[in-house]
Amino acid sequence: MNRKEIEPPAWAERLLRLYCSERFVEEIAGDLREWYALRVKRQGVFKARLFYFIDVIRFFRTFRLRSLNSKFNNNNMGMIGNSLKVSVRSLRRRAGYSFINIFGLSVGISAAILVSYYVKTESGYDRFWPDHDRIYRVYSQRTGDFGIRKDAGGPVPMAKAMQNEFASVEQAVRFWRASRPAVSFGEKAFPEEKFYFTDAQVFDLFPVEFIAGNPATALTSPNSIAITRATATKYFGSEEPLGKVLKYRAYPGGELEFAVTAVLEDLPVQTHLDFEFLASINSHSVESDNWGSFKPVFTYLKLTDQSQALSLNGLLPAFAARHLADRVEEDPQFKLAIQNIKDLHLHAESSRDMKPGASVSNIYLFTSIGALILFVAIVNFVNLSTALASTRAKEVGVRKSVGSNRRQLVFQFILETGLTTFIAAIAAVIIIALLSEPFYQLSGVKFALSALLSPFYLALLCALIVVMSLLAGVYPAIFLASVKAPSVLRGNTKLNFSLGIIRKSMVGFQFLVSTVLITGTFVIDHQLGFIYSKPIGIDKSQVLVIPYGKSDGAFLNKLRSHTGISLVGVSQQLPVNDLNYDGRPVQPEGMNETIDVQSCFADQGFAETYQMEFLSGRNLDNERASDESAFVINETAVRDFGWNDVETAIGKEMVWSNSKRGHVVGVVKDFHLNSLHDKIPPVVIHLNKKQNWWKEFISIRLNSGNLTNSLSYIEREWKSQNAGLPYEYFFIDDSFDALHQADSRFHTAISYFSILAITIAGMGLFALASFTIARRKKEIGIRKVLGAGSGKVALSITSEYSLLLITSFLLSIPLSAWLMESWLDSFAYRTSIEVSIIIKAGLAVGLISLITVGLRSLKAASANPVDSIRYE
Amino acid sequence: MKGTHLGEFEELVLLTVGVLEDDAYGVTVTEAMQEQTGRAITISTVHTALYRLEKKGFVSSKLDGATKARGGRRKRLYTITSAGHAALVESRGLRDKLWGQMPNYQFEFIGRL
Repeated sequence: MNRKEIEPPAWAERLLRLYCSERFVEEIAGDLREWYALRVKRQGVFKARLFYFIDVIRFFRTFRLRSLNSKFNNNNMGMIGNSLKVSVRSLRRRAGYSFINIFGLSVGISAAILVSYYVKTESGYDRFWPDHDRIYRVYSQRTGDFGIRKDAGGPVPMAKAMQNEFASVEQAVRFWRASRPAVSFGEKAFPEEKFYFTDAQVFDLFPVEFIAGNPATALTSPNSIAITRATATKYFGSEEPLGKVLKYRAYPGGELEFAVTAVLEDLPVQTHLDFEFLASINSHSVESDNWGSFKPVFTYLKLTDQSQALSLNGLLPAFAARHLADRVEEDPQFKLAIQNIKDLHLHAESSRDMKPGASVSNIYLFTSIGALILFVAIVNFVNLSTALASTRAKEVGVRKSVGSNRRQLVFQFILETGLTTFIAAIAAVIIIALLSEPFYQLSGVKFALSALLSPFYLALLCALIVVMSLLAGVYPAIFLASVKAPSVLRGNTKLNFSLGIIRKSMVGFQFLVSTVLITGTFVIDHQLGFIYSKPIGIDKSQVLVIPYGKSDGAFLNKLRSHTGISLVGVSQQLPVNDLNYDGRPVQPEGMNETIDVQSCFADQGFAETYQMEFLSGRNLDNERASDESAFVINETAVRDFGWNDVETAIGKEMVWSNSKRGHVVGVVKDFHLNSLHDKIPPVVIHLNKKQNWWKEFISIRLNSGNLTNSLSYIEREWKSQNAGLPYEYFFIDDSFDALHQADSRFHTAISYFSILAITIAGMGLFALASFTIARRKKEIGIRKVLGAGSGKVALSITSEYSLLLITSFLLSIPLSAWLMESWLDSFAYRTSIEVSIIIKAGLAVGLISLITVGLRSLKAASANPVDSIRYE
Repeated sequence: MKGTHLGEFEELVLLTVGVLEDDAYGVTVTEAMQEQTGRAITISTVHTALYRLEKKGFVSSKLDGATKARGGRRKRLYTITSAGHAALVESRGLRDKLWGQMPNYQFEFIGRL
């Protein structure tokens, strides 16, 4: 018999000793050893050793735990129950304070958790694709006097060329966004925005979940299409989608038909991909070898290995020089580069992305606000807990004289704060549940309560509870535990427990944060007011926009003759909209180089409908044959073209897009083409009567009066003219609002946060004032007896806080000025931070705090002094 | 003491302790139970049951009987108390009473044709 057969593994026994209390170790170890010997005989050494270990684990029961039994004797165990009872009683005795404490803390915790959830969601995009580490998207970057511009789109043949020329590219796939196609199935027709032509291997890179169809073959043959589940329901209801034929009409491809070959699960939120239709790209051969034009064609590369990314980026300049010589010549700093897909949501910063990304600065901002609110809440909590604890000297004295030791007292206080934070954590969960809907509307991120059960949030909650209990519990615990029992019991309950400076600066800090947030809210409010009241160069009210479709001149005339309609115009682009973009080079008279302008084909009615103001010259004239080569430009164009003023600009010659030579006939006042974040670009408006492709929109100025009547008339007439095409309409002022929706949302978010902060701070101040007043009760009584009026007494209490408020207000000014300046800088057209705004914010905070403290002190001051002096 | 209810497993353990008389401790009780019931029984469960039975006052214990096979460690020897015995009798009485009321079932085999 060798040693192993007799001796069980020693380390397993050590494990037993580690957790098991002394009391049980001996018998268990003995029994296990005998049992081991039996096992060795029956099942062999290996199994016996294994089961010995398993048995050791199985002996784990709470009643055998070392800590509960050895460190605390039975009496201590009983004391835990008692301490808990005392904690609950002390919470209930001061229900008001406890409520403020718990409520403030739970609001802070819930804000912190929601913000962290938002940040986690936003920064976790596209990590679920199996090969996300080696999937990259190509972008191009231009440099010019506009700064640096990144473009997600590229030439159509780029993907194939990259795959052929680079060994490190395993697979290249394109997504080509169709230009707002009309898709129809029988009677059902809709304008679509998420329609892409793509290569058959797309599912190698992005293995989307298939509900029906085969990923390997779904898009191999021409005229096949994969649609998402929601889209299938939208077009086919409950019918079987596979094999159904969808009609398509748009650029690229013109009129096409697609047979549904696959149904995909709707895309999850956490991806920058955003499609509803994926059509096989070999359904048409448009532009398949045109390198000259950068289309909304997104090129994705799957590399053989992640480490190839750097070297591939190094090869791209040569690639650009080979295929895009014109661009490189025109802009020596032009470059192509690749970016990993998981960075696209936050760090793409490119135009024309599949899904607009989130802004990193917003994430930083919300993170810091969330952290600040949590911090304010903790400060409040610590402040109040320490203040309240100082009133309990008598209790501590009694406890000490009946034999409490120091450790028990510390434990008692930490347990109390622990209980408070625990309740607050539970309340926070309830608040989160209540707030999840507004939070969703604000952030676009849906919070599932079940996420709280994930290890991350459980750990976060536990960490918060522990940290806060210690922060708020340790100081009073240690301080009170050192109280001398005899002196307290002799009636000397006044403790030197002031913490004055620290506590006051904590309150000051709370108000600093609140003031900054409120100033921020006011500044944003002011800027939004500016956006909505700024003349934008056109009259955006009562202009309806409908698609041109297959309309003709006769139809336009029919519209014009209706009494509810005053003006009608046709155009390629729209003001205050982000629907389209047509950048063209223009060679103005007197300049050698070309200038990039926004080009817009339009008819005479366009400028009329939007009531654009002509600074000089005249509008385009549909009837004049010579106006086919006439241009109307805006003020910015006059400046950029180097022409002195709007008068001299008239009659100047210019060449548009290397092809069309003509003269300027009119200059319009600048109007906004996009949001107020963007600078107004130089704009060229001109006629094109020979072609129709540019006719995208019909803008209609409605007469006030019977609006519903006019709307239904337009819809009826349009549908009879454009059978089979989807009808959609919108008002131009709505589209202006939509451009600034993100700003409005930001405004709402900051308002919520500042309300939260000021509420917490206000409650903290209220509680602290009440507490001071309670301690100065006798003093107030004596003052009154000696002849002080109620007002004067109240003032003396309030003034204690005024200095604090003024200091924090002064400190907040540079901080909020700096923060809000950087926000305002994101607008090309912005207001400045006016003194009146800062004063307004200061007054708001001051008023709120004066009311809280003032009312409380007035109540104390008007009390009958007899009651307070008789106090003892 | 909280409940003095006797669970099925506890009842078996208590019976075994009674049967083993002077030599009832973790190992022997587990062994005997495995033999009698034919079930695989883990020693830690038996230990826990013994601990509970002692808390309920159905067995009493003393530490004794260090042997070489145990690495010189003492074992906790259990003996049944009168309360434990009474609990067993009561539990048996309940069963007997129920058995007395059980009708005489005739289970026929009705095969499916």
